[in-house]
Amino acid sequence: MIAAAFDYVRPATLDEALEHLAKHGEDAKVLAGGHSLIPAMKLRLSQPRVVVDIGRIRDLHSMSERDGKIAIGALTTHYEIESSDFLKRSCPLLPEVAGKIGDVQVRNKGTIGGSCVHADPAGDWPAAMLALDAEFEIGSPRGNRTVVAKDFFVDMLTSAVQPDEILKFILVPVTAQTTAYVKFAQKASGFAIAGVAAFVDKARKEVALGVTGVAAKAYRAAGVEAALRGLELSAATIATAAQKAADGIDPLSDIHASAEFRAHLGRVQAKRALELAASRG
Amino acid sequence: MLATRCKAIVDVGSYCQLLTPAIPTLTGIMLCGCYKLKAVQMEVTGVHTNKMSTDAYRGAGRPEAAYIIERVMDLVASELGLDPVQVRLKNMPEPTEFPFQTATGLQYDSGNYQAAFNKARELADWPNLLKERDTARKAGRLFGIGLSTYVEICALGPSKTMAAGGWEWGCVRIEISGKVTVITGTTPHGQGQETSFAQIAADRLGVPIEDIVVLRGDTATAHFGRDTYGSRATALGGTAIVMSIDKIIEKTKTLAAALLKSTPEKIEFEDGKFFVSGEANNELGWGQLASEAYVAKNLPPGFEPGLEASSFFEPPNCTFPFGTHIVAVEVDRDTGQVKILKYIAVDDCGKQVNPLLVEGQVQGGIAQSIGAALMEKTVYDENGQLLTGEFMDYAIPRAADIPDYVLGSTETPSPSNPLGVKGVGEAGTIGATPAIANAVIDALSPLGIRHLDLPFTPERVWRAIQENGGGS
Repeated sequence: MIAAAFDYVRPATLDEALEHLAKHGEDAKVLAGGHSLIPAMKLRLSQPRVVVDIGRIRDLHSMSERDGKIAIGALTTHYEIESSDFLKRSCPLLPEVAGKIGDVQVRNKGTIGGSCVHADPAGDWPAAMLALDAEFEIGSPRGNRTVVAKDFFVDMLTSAVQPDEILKFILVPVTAQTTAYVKFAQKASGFAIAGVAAFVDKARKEVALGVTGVAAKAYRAAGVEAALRGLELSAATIATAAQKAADGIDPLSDIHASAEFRAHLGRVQAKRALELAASRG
Repeated sequence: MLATRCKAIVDVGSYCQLLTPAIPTLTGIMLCGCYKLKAVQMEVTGVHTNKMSTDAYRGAGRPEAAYIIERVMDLVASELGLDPVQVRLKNMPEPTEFPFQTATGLQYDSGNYQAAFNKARELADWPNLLKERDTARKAGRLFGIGLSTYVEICALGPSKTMAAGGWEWGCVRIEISGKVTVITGTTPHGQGQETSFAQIAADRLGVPIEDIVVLRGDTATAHFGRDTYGSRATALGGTAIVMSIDKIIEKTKTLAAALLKSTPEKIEFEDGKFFVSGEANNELGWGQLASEAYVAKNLPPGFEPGLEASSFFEPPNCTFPFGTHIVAVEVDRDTGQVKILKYIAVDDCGKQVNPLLVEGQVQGGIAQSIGAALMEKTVYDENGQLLTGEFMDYAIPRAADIPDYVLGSTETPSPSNPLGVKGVGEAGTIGATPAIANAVIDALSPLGIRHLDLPFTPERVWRAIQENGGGS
């Protein structure tokens, strides 16, 4: 399939990029790694008049510590995250998630920022972002604003980033090694039918779980978290609590998995993610 | 086992293409499998629908036949409380019974089904594999072993059995330099016959393989040909080349006799050299003889210049490769996911020209079968709209889905051609699917599950487990 005709601009700075967006409004689309936008354009599901390629904005391509947190530039590729020794030490959930995205080609080009803004209901990053309570620093002509993960993923293919805004940085905490991401993948695409990111805080006896693939948008498994609050993690407590992983959720249904199977896999993966995370420290 | 009765309702899609009705028909013809059935009844109803038309796909009718008969063998064993190994051995023809006439009118050319069957079980370390299954089951794991013995039909085929010519054509030319041009009417498109035909010619002519060029795929050079399909190219195309080489050797003996001052019947040919019987030191090679044949100054009376011959090979029968595949799987009780733990295959494709190419065909065929058994599914909505229209939705196996194979072979030459080859292009897709299916059903059998339809997608398997009270 061939995309509809469009104009292409490649600004060198963020301000310049924001100017293009301000000018073209909803007719413009931001291009980062191109692994969601380009397929959508080829199928003509997306037909922007102007594509604003932000790929050369160097400032958004970085990983650094900032005020005790880790700031990841929106243009950082999945592969850069997967292979980062710094992140393996300081926030190992991120490299683990990155390594399970798509295939090598996708990981080499796709970016964490693009994937989050795209907000695919089966994308891998939203699960981790929710589990880590990540913060999203968004730039616009009006200045910067910060949105927390639970408000960032708004609905299917809809994030909090507005047409005239650009996601700049994602801030995540430095964590212990007790995190894990497990995914039951759709066989053809590799997207999650049920992916669960778990963050176990043994000292505070708390867990955080982000679930992707099961519902129209990724969510925190609040029922599981509440059931385990203050408890020692054991096979039994995990198994019981994980049963709540799809409570109150309206699961998706498609040719790859029925709603019933998706919800079930959400519970199975919640259990496995918690067991794995707990075993790591 | 005495007989089978099979009724097939086949969704053939919207139009009749080249082989649409032929494929389920071939399934019926191959329904005896490796067994001495006295009678077979097959009733096929083709149903036109508003879906894509069906046509030949690797195996084309034989995988279905192997699947039906091999599932039946397992069901028979399970109903009667017998060992699936013994049920199969008891019903196989002995090697001495070949050529073996089937109830469906085929004559299986040659076979030693027991040898492949036994070798596969040896490679699988069968007694220990059974113990491993026992141990796993005691631990509550869904572990299964599946086997399939298959026979297939290749080297299609005698012209009288086909809609149009079932022959194959080949041409060989010794160039003036002594180097060799081989032209085949088959059209290898990845099977590697450019290599195996060069090997055949190098062996038979006694020249280095580097001196041979194989041409194919262009009617400007290859004037005739029935093509590459039905695992026929080596058996038929290779034989047309052999026939042409033999014609050239016979012709060249006349030239050698004249140059060596002897008579053609006293000329021997060995390892690329022509010599008078008993005088091996007085010899002529292809370079000298080709030069003489084209320069044409010293030709014996009536000798036609040049060294070129072409041949049409009309096979007397098809060939019938066979083998045994053994698979061990584990099913994840919580997700329905099937994992292949072990894969053992012993294939007998007759004489092997190039074992590496044979293995490549077997490996690829099994991979395709893993797709068919575990993931590939074409889905339409109620209006006939294709929902699995791209590889984001239609799953095919990738490298990570393929287990390590343990591959072996036996060689039972075919009497249907001078090379003794049978064909191997589709063997993997024929032997593998039923073995995987039998393994998955075996894994689920402690739950009382006797059958599930392909493909064994996680949700289908999970539902079967749930419905039979096997969930965790």
